Amino acid sequence: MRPFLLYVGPFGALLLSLVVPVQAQVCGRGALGLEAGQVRPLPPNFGIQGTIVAPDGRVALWSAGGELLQSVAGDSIVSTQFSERMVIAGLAFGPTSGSWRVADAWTGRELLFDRDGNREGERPLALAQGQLLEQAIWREEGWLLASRDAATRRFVVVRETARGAVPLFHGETADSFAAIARYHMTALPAQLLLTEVRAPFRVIRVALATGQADTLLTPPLPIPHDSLYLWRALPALALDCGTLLAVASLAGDQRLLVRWDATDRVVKVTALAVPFGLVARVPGEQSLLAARRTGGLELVTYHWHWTPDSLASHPPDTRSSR
Amino acid sequence: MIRTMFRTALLALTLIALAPPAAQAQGLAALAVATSTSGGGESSALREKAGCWDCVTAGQVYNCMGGQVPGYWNCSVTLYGCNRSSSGCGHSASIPVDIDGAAQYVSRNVIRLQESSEEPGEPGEERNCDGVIVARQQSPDNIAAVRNRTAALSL
Repeated sequence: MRPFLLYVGPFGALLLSLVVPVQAQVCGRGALGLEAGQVRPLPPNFGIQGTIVAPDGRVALWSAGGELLQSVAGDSIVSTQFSERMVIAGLAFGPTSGSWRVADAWTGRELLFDRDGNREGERPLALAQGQLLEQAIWREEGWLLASRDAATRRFVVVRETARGAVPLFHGETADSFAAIARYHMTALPAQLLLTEVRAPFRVIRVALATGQADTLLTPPLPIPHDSLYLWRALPALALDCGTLLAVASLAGDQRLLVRWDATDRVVKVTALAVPFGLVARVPGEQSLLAARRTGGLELVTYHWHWTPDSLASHPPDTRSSR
Repeated sequence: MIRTMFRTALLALTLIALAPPAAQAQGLAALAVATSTSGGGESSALREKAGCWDCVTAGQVYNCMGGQVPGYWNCSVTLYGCNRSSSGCGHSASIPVDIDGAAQYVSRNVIRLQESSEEPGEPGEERNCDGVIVARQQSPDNIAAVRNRTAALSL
């Protein structure tokens, strides 16, 4: 056996040197294949307000009403309800096993709960007066806080650090508070993706260290102009190479999935006519979570792979800096 | 006597001008619905409905009109312009509302089905006045089709 390995070794190395570059070329530029795996039914009228996925695969979803769903042992979903009145803008697995850290938009405070739901601590979040918290994502040091600022009429994102709040992003000044453009946040290891909820559905990438931003321009989508107001973007997801965005019609089952490759070029826009949407990426895996309605609501785990696709088109560069 | 009649007439005119023009507004709503449905090619999802009010500007003129999309407010016209008065029939749709799986994911508010429109959509579905699906029933065939179409995707 050993002589055989020694004999094959150099050829194997040669083979690897050929295969790896091919994979690198395919990654993000070939077709992205998604295969449905585990399906977990959710309560029929559960409204997914937010989702977190731990590195170990644990999933927690919450609704606007404060209902919390957790995946337990990978399969079943357990429902719990926070007893306190709060508006969950962000949720994080707590500092101790079973505990929770909540960014409450109602009070503008961080609340800590033990595994039994008893509050064991709180502190004010780094929000200025007149800022309405929209979404919060926990990082090691503190929260990333996205809010609408009544004073400046802008969407702002700040990062809590040991030195205080660091501004990361602010949107354009709107005519009124209600007209402030809103964004979904998706946290990456060193960046933040901001997805504009309404048209033109821009995806803005912000470096967490510097606040430097660039925009993945969304191409013109095949949506009739008079129904554009009924379409919403879901949070963009970062793949191993490339970015994926789902845009959904609130008036029906029409969905558009936009994919950028690793060089930020739009590779493909796929139209679907199913009640389906992307929810979150599973950290460290080639898989993501999606929601679909098949009578009830289901959480589906998709595994992705790249395949060569000679038909993939590459429109002109759509990247810009801001 | 003449002065009293003049004052009464002036007061009446002022009251007419200041009063929320409910009857006029309803008429405008009917007009808006008639206009929007006359296109024929529009789907029911895009049909504007009576009761979706909001302030509309045409140059320097402000008016309170029905059939506005999004129509989150009720409103009234006074000498000083158009004023939003209260949440209208489309209020719940100001934040996307959809129990339709994926689109629901963008929901940022508590789902309030009771505020949905009474206007029927397709069988087994209910829409609010913006045309957003707020409730639906799927047939077994539709459920099977969703499972089939989403089992594997090539993007």
